[in-house]
Amino acid sequence: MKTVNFEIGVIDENCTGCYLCERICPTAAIEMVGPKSSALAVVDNSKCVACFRCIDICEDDALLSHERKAPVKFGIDPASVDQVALGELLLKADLDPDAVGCVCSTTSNKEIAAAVIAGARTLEEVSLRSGVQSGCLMYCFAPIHRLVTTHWGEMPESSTKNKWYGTSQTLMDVAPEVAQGARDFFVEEEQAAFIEVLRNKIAAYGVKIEALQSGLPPDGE
Amino acid sequence: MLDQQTEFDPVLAPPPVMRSAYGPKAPEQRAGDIAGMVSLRVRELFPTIAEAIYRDETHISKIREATRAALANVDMSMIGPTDSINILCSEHGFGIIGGHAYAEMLRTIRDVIEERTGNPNARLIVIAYVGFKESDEIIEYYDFETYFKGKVRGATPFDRGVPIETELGTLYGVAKVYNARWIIHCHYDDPREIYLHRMIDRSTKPFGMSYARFETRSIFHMTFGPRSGNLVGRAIAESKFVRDKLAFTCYMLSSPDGVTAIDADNELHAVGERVTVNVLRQYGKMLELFSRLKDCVVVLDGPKWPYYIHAGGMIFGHLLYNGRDWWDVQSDPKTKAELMGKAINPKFKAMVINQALIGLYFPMVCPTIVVGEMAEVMKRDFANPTFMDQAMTAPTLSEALERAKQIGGTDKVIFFDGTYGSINLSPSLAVELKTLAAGVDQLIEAERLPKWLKQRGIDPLKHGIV
Repeated sequence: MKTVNFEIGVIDENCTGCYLCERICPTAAIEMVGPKSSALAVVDNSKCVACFRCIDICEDDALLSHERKAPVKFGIDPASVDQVALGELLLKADLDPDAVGCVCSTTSNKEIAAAVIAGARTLEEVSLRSGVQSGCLMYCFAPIHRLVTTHWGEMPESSTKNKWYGTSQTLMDVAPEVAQGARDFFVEEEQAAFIEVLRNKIAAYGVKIEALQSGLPPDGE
Repeated sequence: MLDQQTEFDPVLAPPPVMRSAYGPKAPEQRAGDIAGMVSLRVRELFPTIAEAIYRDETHISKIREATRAALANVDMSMIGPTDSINILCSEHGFGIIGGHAYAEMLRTIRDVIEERTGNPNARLIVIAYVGFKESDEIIEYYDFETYFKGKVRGATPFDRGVPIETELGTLYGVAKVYNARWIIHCHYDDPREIYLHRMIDRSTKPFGMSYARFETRSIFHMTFGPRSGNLVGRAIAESKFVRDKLAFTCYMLSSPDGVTAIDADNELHAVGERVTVNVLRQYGKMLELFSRLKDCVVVLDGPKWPYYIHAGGMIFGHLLYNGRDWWDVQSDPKTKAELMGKAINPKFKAMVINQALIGLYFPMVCPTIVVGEMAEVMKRDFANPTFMDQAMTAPTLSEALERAKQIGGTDKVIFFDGTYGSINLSPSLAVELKTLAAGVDQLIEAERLPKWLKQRGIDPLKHGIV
């Protein structure tokens, strides 16, 4: 959940049409309008999650923030989606439901998963539904990509120009031979603990774990 | 109280502050402007902490000498006179005692490469944490454009990536970091966020963070465990792609007293082991001392993100997350949330933020008062959008501190304002720290240090630790 207190304004006379703000915006709230040689930034503040990265990247002081008259919230209640589907997705994605998936907006993995189940399949859509990708634009990428690709099979490019590389390995992806060769990193111990925690948490969603093709090893292995 | 004050040194002037777009203007008051504050030397607490060769800019020649001495044993014969070379540096090095020691180490490396190989083309790559203006600010402040004859570039985790095949699959580095025949890994051993890297293969961490695209940084932080996450940096450092490019490694070593030495080696893991031994030995005592604090008020007053501002060489994160022994890597609870939640130190009762940078999530764990212009800056902190909804404000540091002491019910105050060598604090806290320090040296040297080393596969005897 992200509470947004600010909106973005453009100082047209400062804008040089460099397109940097459009490319960094995680929700496609900024569009360059006009002929390519003289385009200016235009902001749709209904889609602005106030990450301020456009202001940060602008070299011409062409963007600034104003306080909104009333805060806007971007978020989803995990209880609003099918709980079994939610649990199954988190189990298949190997993500702890309660762990924070986005630190800037303090959004949990289960909230991100709920946004995905509710229909979000691009970075932009997940951001607008759950409030993630609204701060550093960095640390929440892997949980988002993991959940979207697990649920939808792929994460398509969205209308945002923000580019990314599709990687989201987790602890559970580490091959046994790699784990065994890296005992100083406690991979096997953490995998075993994670499986136990995840099974217990997911059971609370009504998921029949034994019926799933989750890739999890049976208890005791 | 007066008797106590006379026992201690006056406030130590914090290092100069590099102004940043991510922080406030220079605050009107700092520790030295608060009546009654004193300083306490870390080597008065623990004489076994290694003495620094560098504590301020008057010692800058020592860094050049130490870097030259360390590089004397490094093979540079693989570098041809026309090869491209990237000297890699990371933003936090510029947060250590004002950054001038790290900057001088980088300049010296450039000079020695030219002297030894005839190659004048080494480029400095200044890598940011997250902000797009960070690198430019650093390059300008240290005038790297002039020294490196224009061969300097900034890099962010959002710049174009380069795929790196590893035993964990494809991970992504920043292309500007790796777009050279040779890379020189230039880092520092400030333990920083021990609660994340645990001193497990610390010397390879930058390959999974500083030198990596944001997707890979996210994997390290979010989808691995508190110890296994370090495998991300190791896997990249061990990749053929990196091994073929890495010419040598150079580290700035430290203790809470300041910069103590420069270390360099062609073999990354050899430096890594020495870094691990140095950090565990030099910082373990102050960590234990912080864990013994009974109560205090914290003032954050430095030009870095809140976790990373130093007091006596210890970052604030070391006090914030001091509820467990992070270097004992064999007794973790089952989840990261449990690990971090139980680790928050409940012993500081109120906080004042006089200056810090924005852009990194920071939990509010106690009543917090934000001073002057910093409050306006924090309103726009994209990583902490609701922080100021809960924080109080005050126009001056003096007023904020008085209120924090009332709220916290204590007159013990510690300043995190960038110092090494000494901690700026109230006399009452100085007295308490001296009392609490009793027995810490013995506990660390005789019990914990050997245990920590053995847990990391390092033989204590090899490093003269019985």
